[in-house]
Parts: sequence; structure tokens; C-alpha cells
Amino acid sequence: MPLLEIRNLVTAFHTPAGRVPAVDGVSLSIERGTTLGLVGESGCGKSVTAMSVLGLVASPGRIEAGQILLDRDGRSIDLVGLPERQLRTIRGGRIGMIFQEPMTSLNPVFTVGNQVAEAVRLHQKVSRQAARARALELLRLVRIADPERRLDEYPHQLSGGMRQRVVIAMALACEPDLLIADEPTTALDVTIQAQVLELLADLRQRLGMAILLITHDLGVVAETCDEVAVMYAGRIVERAAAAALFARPLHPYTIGLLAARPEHRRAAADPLAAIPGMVPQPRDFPAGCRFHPRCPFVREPRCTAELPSLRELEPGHLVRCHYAGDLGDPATVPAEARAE
Amino acid sequence: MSEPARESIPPPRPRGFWAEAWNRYRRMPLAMAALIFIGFLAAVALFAPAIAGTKPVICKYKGRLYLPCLAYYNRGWEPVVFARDKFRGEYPANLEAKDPESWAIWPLVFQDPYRAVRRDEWPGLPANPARDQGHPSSRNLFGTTQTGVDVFAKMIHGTTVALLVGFVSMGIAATIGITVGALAGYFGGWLDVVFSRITEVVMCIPPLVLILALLAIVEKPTIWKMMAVLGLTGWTGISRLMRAEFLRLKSAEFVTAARSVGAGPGRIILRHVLPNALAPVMVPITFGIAAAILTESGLSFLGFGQPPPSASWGSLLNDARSNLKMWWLVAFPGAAIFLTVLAFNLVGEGLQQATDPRLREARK
Repeated sequence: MPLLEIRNLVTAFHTPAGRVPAVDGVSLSIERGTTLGLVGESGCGKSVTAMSVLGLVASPGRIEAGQILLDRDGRSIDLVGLPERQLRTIRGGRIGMIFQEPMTSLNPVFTVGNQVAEAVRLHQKVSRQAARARALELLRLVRIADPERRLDEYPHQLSGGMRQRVVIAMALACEPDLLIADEPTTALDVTIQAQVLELLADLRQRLGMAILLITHDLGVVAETCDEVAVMYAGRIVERAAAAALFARPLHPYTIGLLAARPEHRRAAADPLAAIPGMVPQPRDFPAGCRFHPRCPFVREPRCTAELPSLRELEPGHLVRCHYAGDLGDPATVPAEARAE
Repeated sequence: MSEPARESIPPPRPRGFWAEAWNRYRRMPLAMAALIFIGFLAAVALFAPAIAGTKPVICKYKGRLYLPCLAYYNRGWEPVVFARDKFRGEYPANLEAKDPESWAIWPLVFQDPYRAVRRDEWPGLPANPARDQGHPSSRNLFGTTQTGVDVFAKMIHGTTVALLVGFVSMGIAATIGITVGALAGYFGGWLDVVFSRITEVVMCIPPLVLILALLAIVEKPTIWKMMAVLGLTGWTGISRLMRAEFLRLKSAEFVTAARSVGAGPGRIILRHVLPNALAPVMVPITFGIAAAILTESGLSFLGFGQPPPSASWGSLLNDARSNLKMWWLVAFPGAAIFLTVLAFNLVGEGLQQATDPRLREARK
């Protein structure tokens, strides 16, 4: 049984302009102790998927369908529709989360030690002293230099990298089985990024937890993930082991993403490859395959009319494309993208 | 280890938000002076019966110790033995006559805020002059009223009334305002709609008119009822500010982070959002105290205050109305009201500057 299995999750926002399905039938699964990378452009529904797992989707968003099955000591419980009180024991207790912006994800009026200790005391009945000792231990675990002193400092006295370590310490307070990292390195500069990723990989090994890593950085995925799921416009378009995906991407979108990496160029002077067009707004997703307006391999009429299903093309390699494995020659530029 | 450049600099002592604000506040001389003045007023208000009064602060009578001065805080707190022994409020002579062994520590100034002191009530002290004879003198520092009551004693005891009105009514207003604003802002939805409409309705009620109506209905208008009305009508501004702060902060990432480690709504409101939202409402609360003091004085001046004998500053001004030659009835209470209201406003302004996030950023 996988640690976490998401089945056909639909999370939609009910705005005055109408229903906006940000996540539209996503299925994922994460095994214990592995790292799953969830990749996609901004606005494709990655973060909403993560928030749905914790039941933290803010109003007017709502989980409309699907199951989120978490393995708890051999018993699987569905997080969708779980009462708030029980969800709270899951949050932080079984599933920890770290956020993109370390500058704002700590409360400015409390000391670092206070906040980490709070995360401990929310789930364990321990004394203040014990919680503080545990907080110190956690700061040491996330390799904060001079943790005794940092314990009594306020967030504004720490650098971005250190704050992100504190956020990680908070998420790890109760040794969760799963850590959701929502773009944990996006707001950090490159050297700190590498350190934080290394820390996460090391913690995963030591604590045996699984990580759901949400990112738009394929370089990060290549370095850290066992499996990858690529999201586009609220749907998973490709799912595979990381090695397989990088070796042989099947979906045109994934192919485009990989081609767009700066290191993919032959020479630094070459222009960056790009996928033409923009991610469509959830309100006006195109009919048929949602990627067809930007797809260089688009074929009338099937791509524009019929929604492709997620099919297993190779063992463990799923792709949502009618012509995956048999894409043919790319059109120079897809017609509708050219119009923009 | 990870950030070697930072490690080499010795870090400043950790400071919380309020410590930082206090640090900035301390550097504003005017605001500091105002705060010290309010501290002084608070001390006067607290120890009023020991500064001016006709009842001993502490006395030994028939072998036991008593604190008759407590009567000034609450009539019921006057030791019963003195009523039984028919003191009729006159302590110096009675103590001497009924128990030669007795001793007492007296207030600094032997004058009563509620009645004129009679001749020889205190050995060698003449009766207070009345009407326009009551010029300020060495015996009556700020003069006396129409009926011969010492103005200084009245003003000392009036400080208690003024500060009590200010703090209690704003305490009520702050409690209601913060609660309503926090709940409306945090939970939103129908709760927000209901609370916001209630706020708007209350905002439309002019407190002065409501108080006048109330005073016309109730049989015994007391300052407590006045405070209740001021508090029950004065919370709307605080509530609206609080709601706005909660709306802003509830989607802050640190709140989501707190929820993601399993914190419930109560903990998030009280521990994570409220401390961050408190600074902006401190300012209107301070201004509100000044406004409440002013309202109480105004009502007393109009004769709608506490029924006599009262020691309110406003009622002294009311006394002056009948005889404008008694300038001391205008000057001293007027100055007291002016300075107190000014001090609270200066403190409010200082707080505003000390907690302003923009100024805080500029200093970094």
C-alpha cells in the first residue's frame, strides 16, 4: 500500500465569475521513503493539490470529488471529508509542509524556539522545557549553526536560508511520514538552494519519510526525485520514474519543458527554447486535449475534440496524449499559438 | 557553518516587536512626557484619599486598626464601627473624644471633596469660605466652590473619576471591538455579514444622545452606567480596524504554516493573528480614552453627570457657570481636562509612530 494515494482529486474554486476547477482529476501515489516531484508551470494546480492533501484549501475553494488515502499504521484513511479535528492531528503529525516564502512563513512576533516548540506541543503532551529541548534538537537536525542562540531570536534576525531551515524544523517536529515541500527553494539564492535540497535529501534518508516536492525547476527534480508527475492545466499529463522521464519524455509538453532548460542548449549563445503561448486560465480550458493549442504535434480533429486518457505506455510510464510514442513531425509553430 | 559571513558579526540582543516599539517610543520626548504625566495622574487617582480627605488613611481605634479612607473608593467599605459609634463623618474630634488612646495617619490635605469643612473640625482650621470669597489661598490651594467645598480636594478625587471613565469605558469598547472584529475577519462568511451590519448599526447611534436618553430613564445615574454606555457604543472603530487586520493576516503565509502544523482556529486567532493585529488598534484605544474623558466632563458640565455630590472635573465647570467671577472654578479643572486629554492624544500619536510598519522598515 502506498503511503499516500490521491485518486481523481477535483478541487474547484467557486468565484463570482463561475466555477474554476484548479485541480481536475489528479491521481498520484507516493511510496514510503520516496520522493515524488510534481512539476508544472505556475497556475497549473500544483499548490492547490498540496493544499488539498492537508485540507487547507481556502474558501471559495472546495474539494469536490476524489479520495486522498493516507496509510496510517496499515489502515488507510480518506482525508477528504475527514472532520477538521481529526485533520488537525494529521497536519504536522503525519504530514508536514514547508512553504515557498521563508520570509513570511514564520510569525514575526515570536521567537524561533517558541514557534518550533509550539509545533511540538500541538501533537505531544510534553512540558515547556521538554518542548524547548526538542526544538533545540530539531534546529540541530536541520543544521542551524549555533542553535542555542538562534532559539531565542526572532525571524527577522535570520537569513532566508536559515528561516527556511526553521520552517523545515517546524514541519519535522513530530517526525511526519510525508513532507510536502511547496517550491521550497524558489525564494532562495542558488547556493542556499543546493544546501536546502541536500538537507531535505539527507533528512529523508535519516527519518525515512516520503517527500512530495512541488517545483517548476526540472534541475531540482533530476537531482532529488525518484518519481515525477508533470501537471498541466489541472491534470497530470505524464507520470514516470525520474530516470525514465528524463531519458524518454513522451508527452509533447514534457518534451517542450525539457527542451526549454537552459543547459539543454548546445552553446550559451543559442536562444532559449520556449513553449509558445501561455497556460490557459482554468475558466477557459480548451476542449479536447488541454495542451493542443500549444502543441507542435497537434493533429486535427482528434486532439481538438477528444480528451486523451492517462494510459500506461510503458510499464510505470503513464502519459495523457493520443499520439504519445508516435508523435510524428512537429508543425513549425502551432496555429493558435502563432495568433498570440 | 552555512552563513559564515553572518556568524562573525556579534548579533544584537533579540528583541520582540513591543520591545522594538518601546525603544522607538522612548526617543520621543513629547510622547514620553505625556506618558509620565499619565503615570502621575494614575498615581494621584489611586492614592486620592491619602492626598486629600477628612477620613484617616489608617487609624487605631479601641485597640484595632482601621482604614476609614476606603470610604472614598466605596461607601460600603467604611468600617461599620464608626457608624455605630456615631462619628457622623467627623473623625478628628470623635477619635479623640471616644478613645483617648487612638492615633491616626491623616491625608496630606485635610479637605473633603464632597462637603465644606466646618470650623474647628480640624484643630485651628477655620470653616471654608463660600461663594466668591473662596479665592485660592494657602488653605484652599485651588479655592472653594459656591458651597465652600475645596476645589483641590475635588480635583484630586476627580482624577479617579476621569481615569476610571477613560479606562473602563475603553476597556469595554476594546474587549467588544477586538472580539467582534477578530471573529468577523477570521471566519468571514455569514458571521462577517452579521457582525459587520451590527457594527454599522451601532455606529449610527450617537453615544451622547443615548446617554441622555438613558439618564432620563434610569433612576440613579452613576458613572458606571455612563461608562457602560460609552463602552457599548464606542467599539465600532476598533472592531472595523481589527476586522481589516484579520482579513489581511488570515491569509498570511505564517498563518497557513501554523495551520499546516495542526493549530486550531482558537490558537491561530489568539496566538498568531492577534499579537500581530494589536498594534494598529492600540492607537484608537488611546484616543478613545481621551474622548471618553472629554465626554464625561462634557456631560457633567451640562449637569447630566453623576448626581451631586460628585467629584467630576466637569461638574466643577458646571459650578462656575452660575458665577463667572469665580475664575478658579474654570481655570483649574479646565486645565486638568485639557492636559489629560492632550496627554492621551500625545501618547496615541507616539504609539502610532512607534508601531508604524513603514517607519519600522525605514530603520532596518
